[in-house]
Amino acid sequence: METSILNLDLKKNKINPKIYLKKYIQLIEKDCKKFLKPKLLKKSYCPTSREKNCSSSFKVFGMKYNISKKYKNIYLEKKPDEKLLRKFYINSEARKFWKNKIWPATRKERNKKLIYPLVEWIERFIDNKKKVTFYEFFPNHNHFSEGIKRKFKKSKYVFLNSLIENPSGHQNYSYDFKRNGQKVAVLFESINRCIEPEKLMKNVKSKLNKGDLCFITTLLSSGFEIKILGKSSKTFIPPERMNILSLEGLQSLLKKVGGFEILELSTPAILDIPNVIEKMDKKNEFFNYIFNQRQDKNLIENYRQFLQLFRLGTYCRMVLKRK
Amino acid sequence: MKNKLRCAIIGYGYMGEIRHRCVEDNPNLILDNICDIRKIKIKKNIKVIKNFKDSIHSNIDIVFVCVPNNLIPKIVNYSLSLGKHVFCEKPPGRNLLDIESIIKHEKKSKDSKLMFGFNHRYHPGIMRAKYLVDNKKFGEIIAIRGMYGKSGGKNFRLSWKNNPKISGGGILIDQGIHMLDLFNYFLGNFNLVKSILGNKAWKFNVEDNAMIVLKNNNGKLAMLHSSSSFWKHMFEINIILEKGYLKIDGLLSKTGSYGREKLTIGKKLFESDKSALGNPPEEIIYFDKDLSWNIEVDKFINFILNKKVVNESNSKDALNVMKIVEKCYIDNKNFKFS
Repeated sequence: METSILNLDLKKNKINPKIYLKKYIQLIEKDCKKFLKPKLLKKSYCPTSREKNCSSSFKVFGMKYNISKKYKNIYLEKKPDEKLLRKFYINSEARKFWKNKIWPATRKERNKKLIYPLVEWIERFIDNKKKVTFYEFFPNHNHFSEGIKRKFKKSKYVFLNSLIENPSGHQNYSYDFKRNGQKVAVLFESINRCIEPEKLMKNVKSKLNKGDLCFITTLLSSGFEIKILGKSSKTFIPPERMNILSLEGLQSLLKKVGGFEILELSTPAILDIPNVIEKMDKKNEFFNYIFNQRQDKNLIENYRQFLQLFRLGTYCRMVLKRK
Repeated sequence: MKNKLRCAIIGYGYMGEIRHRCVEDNPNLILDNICDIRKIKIKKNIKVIKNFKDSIHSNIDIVFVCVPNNLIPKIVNYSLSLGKHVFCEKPPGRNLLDIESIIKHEKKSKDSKLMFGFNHRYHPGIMRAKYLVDNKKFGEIIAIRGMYGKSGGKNFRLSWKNNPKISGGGILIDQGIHMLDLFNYFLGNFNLVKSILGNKAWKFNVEDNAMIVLKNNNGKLAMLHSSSSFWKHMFEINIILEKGYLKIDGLLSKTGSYGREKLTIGKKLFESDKSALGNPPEEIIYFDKDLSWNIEVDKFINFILNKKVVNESNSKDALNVMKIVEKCYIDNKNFKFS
């Protein structure tokens, strides 16, 4: 299994400018209250162990997140079904704001720092001259697919469980998986966004053949930011982040589903430290000292590398090979 | 598969034990016997034979040759003459004459498959780098620089590897040969080879340090420092390409003494990104599983079962690397060892 240490010069404010982010969060909160009414939601359990008891819980926008006892997975106690989730994404004012304001304002930076590096990462494992078919599960925008199609010119791209309205040029919901050629599943934060991660991974497993690859990005509850900030981390945005598994929870889920070999598991930890610096309790003497008082760039850089090396970042990327 | 291929392992030192595990791990193989002239301890109930000719009997399909260098041609040639498939550890003998005699026997034994244990090709960092080079992600290779060495150790003086009559040379033919094989794997066709050898550290009759520079017929350069006096185990290879660079350092091993294997990937960035000038952002990939021994045996078995020509780590590769080694020793024929 590989672990990558990345060196991305990613500035949080350039991909999520504060002026827009505040408004976006306000709109999401309104949308949650408008569309995700408690009576429409279904009770859910730990995405890995299915245990009903939790160690603690907290609320965001009136929606309750539980923390599971065994794996410390964080998940919404009540979730919408896929139909309601799709309705949410299609009608959400926040999504419209993201599409019309945030994306145009940050497009250049997001392409350069987020999307193209992701495509390059995929190219490390798959020759872009090959004819492959990409299946993106639970997408809520088409920017990744555009980036991938730009480099993998001979490939096909298909959305599955799409949360986008009228995804032009993409087949939606169903596809004939019996065709020949290498298949690649891409799950860009789909584990966070889907209703049941286990069901999703079983679906991915059933669609892929031996040797096919699956690329995953996901947020982890075992990451530095969430461990330090807890519920005050800005990670918890329902319903975009319904399931935030721990590293152990994710590995255990994959073991339970079976049929995959992990080729790479990395946690780039690019935004963990800036996020912690911004929101941490100033009484935390140790982190205050090393991140603020010392004013040593090398210390911060080395701390970030330490988080990457031991897979302690909040953002995770993973490559699986179907056995 | 109904009938498993029956194997004999000749020589049960460090490499023999590794091959024993590879045979056990491969579902197509079954171990018939182990041959060693010494008294050896094996946990399982496996036949141990003293004479290699008794070991390579009629029921044997594959012979793993894991013996000191001077015995290699004799055992490989004997096995090939009986029509056996042979997997031979590196180096492929002590000198060019040894490998040439092996190739003569290989040609006569047309149905036999012969492969050599250049396992470094199958280390995860090397495999990943080879993929990036072959896919031209960073353009063509300009040059390669390698360092490979060890600390020696308490009993290093006693090793047959430092007896030129048995080994054919010192650290270069023992360990440096892996790096030279990697140079051939990535570049090849070296028509200019210059070397300087030294023995100031251990004062044996063989080199303990070797500096080699090479140039191929496309003008690509390579450089190796092979040493048994780094005083630490060290493996590092830098591949300089038109649009970036790759560095593999550390090598996964049983003891972990070469450090964790990692591949550093850097892109060529110039003034367009001032902050990166001369110090571009790098990606480092850490690996934690070495399957190189199994991969090469799996490949070998695949060649046998599918009746395919051995097209990697074959006798041609062995000959090419021994030509470089031989040239290095010829360059230093007037070198007076202490």
